[in-house]
Amino acid sequence: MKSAGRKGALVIGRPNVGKTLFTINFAEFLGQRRLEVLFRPRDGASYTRLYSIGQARADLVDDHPHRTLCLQSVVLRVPRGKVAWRVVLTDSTGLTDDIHPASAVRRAMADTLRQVADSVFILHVVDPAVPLAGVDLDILRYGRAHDGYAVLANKVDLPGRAAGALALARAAVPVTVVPVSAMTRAGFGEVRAFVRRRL
Amino acid sequence: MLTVGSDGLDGIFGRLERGEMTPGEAFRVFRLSGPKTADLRLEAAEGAGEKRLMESFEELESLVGLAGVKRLVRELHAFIIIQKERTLQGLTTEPMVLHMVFKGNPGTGKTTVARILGRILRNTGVLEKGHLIECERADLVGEYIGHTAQKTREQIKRAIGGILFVDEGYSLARGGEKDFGKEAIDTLVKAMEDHKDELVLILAGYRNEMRQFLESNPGLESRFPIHIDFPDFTLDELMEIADLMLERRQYTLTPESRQAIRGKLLRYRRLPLGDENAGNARLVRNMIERAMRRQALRLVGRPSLSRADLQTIEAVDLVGDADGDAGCPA
Repeated sequence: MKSAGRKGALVIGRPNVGKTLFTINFAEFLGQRRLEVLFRPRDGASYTRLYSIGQARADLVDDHPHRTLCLQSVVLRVPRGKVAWRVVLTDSTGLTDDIHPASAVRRAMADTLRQVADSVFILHVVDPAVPLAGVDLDILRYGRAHDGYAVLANKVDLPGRAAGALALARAAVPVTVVPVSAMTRAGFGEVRAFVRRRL
Repeated sequence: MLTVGSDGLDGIFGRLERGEMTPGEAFRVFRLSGPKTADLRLEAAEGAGEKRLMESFEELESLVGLAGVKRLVRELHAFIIIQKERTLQGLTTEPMVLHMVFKGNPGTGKTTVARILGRILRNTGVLEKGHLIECERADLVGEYIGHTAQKTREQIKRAIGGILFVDEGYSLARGGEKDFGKEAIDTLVKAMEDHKDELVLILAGYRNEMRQFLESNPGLESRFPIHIDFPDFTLDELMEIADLMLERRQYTLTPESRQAIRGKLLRYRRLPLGDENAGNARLVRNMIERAMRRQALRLVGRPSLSRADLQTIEAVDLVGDADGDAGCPA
């Protein structure tokens, strides 16, 4: 299949909302069996590492906040019509409401913000258990003006989240809100459709 | 591509890194850095939604009379907007229950307003489609046990994402305890709860009958937080409606035919109190459509017809007739 071009997609959100798990499982959903992850640390050269999906989940996903401390990208092939696009899906450091005390985290957050400018798609992962506030609200307001922006209301496999996702979808009109579960892959088809429509 | 003006942004990243700014503040600066940051496609889509909303409001405003109804619809719209903003900002919100009772005589604008309301609710994101499904007792009530729930559920299913408009809603309580109408009410009440976020139910009917209906079903009244009264149109309003209808159809009245319409409407209003046609826009429409047919009959044999002939409704087109004017006092 002919390659059509390359577009950037940034996965953004608070710490521990499931950005990294979403990135890995979404890559798998799009047919990746192995992940070649490009790490872009600020203090050092960029490097790539090859993972199996299982290894990637074990090594990169963590219950503690700020496990991801630099931009981590994978290249996905998204077919549309007779051509396939390359979508560079970039996982990023969680953004906090306050100024973070650790300089490494602040630096990584600045990189996330930089990446916003280079991305066609902003996939904003939120936990719909609580109403949007603080930095989430700021991202949403920014994203409203951008066609490639969507909110992924994650963790809908957990109790109470589905109702929260629905309430969020109603409140955020006309922004696209996709209820997803990074864990069970629910809603991934819709995310793929969202991206595909805009390629 | 999302582009953010390059100048000054490095400064923002630097301040973020140095701990002089929160990520949220950085996004605010991004957002405020001007229209060049926006991908205009979505702005256009938002603009189209906004335009459709404005059109719906213009249509509402263009209806003759109905000042109270218009005010209530504006209030509802404002309430929805503010509730959404409150949700976004994490404040407590009232559950948005929008089931309504429309009370008024036939021809007072209930269906028209419901249809416009559907579009407004769609364009504010409350309803996905905002379409209107009109039904009445016969569409909901079945003939044997179990049939009613099935018929009612079918109508509910068609209306999901929009408005289910039950005309003469009070007739569901007709026929007493053994009537299947009660089953229809129960099914509707269940749907109001189960689909409260994706369905608006409007019960419409005569003022007195609706009042009695709600009083005799105490559980029902509290489920319909919004009651809208559709008063009868005044004589002047009915004349205004007549003028609008004629203008749309490219007909004109002579002073005599105008007087004839007014006289007819006045005679209706003198009928015993409570006559349902007294303030009825549908009556005006029927009167005008009948006059158009009579005008056609008057003109059809003539050898030559001017543009003015084709447009003018004469008094003779409105005066007494044997057919189709049943019920109109001479």
